[in-house]
Amino acid sequence: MKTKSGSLELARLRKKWHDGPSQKLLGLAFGTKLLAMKLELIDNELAKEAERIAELTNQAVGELQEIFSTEKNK
Amino acid sequence: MNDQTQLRERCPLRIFLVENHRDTAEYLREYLERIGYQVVLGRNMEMTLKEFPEAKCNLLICDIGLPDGNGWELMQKLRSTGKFVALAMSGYATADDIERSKAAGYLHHLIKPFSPQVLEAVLEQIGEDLRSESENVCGHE
Repeated sequence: MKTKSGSLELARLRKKWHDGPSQKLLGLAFGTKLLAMKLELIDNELAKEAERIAELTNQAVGELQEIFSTEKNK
Repeated sequence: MNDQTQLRERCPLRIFLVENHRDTAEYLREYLERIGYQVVLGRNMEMTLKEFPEAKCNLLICDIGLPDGNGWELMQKLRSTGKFVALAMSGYATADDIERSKAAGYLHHLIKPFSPQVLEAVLEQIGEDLRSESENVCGHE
């Protein structure tokens, strides 16, 4: 059973998640992908490295989204 | 020129992107432009209410949490300005949030953070749907 303090804490975390990390992680996901696209025009090896970072970022983003969606929908 | 680019040119999505986090907004805008879409950027509700009707966009991508209101309220106010498709994006992701976005008129509620691949797939689907509708929808006329 949810307590009042538990609900307040959840609301606080929800707002902090929305206003902070969710915004910045979205920027990170698109920023790294853009970097990889730009490097493709300059250096293939560096572009591959950047693409790997972009892919890792995307995986982390997907996993975090799954965790938070599950927690928020409980 | 690949098939996807040719399709986008036949019926381009002109996107009005509402995002108040500056870096995120710039990365999103540049990514969307690089994959072939036209983008107009809005920072908040006031700016969007003023500029969206004149921007002739056929797709609105809107953050739900805005500094001067929210994306649900904004959608209500924009509905009368013309025919367009809308996507909500938000870190708020309960079933209630998603339902509220659908009730407000958003086609999808994208949960932040999402990957470029997810956004691109959604946009391609919307583009295909619009292409199968009348040319008037594509032209926002």
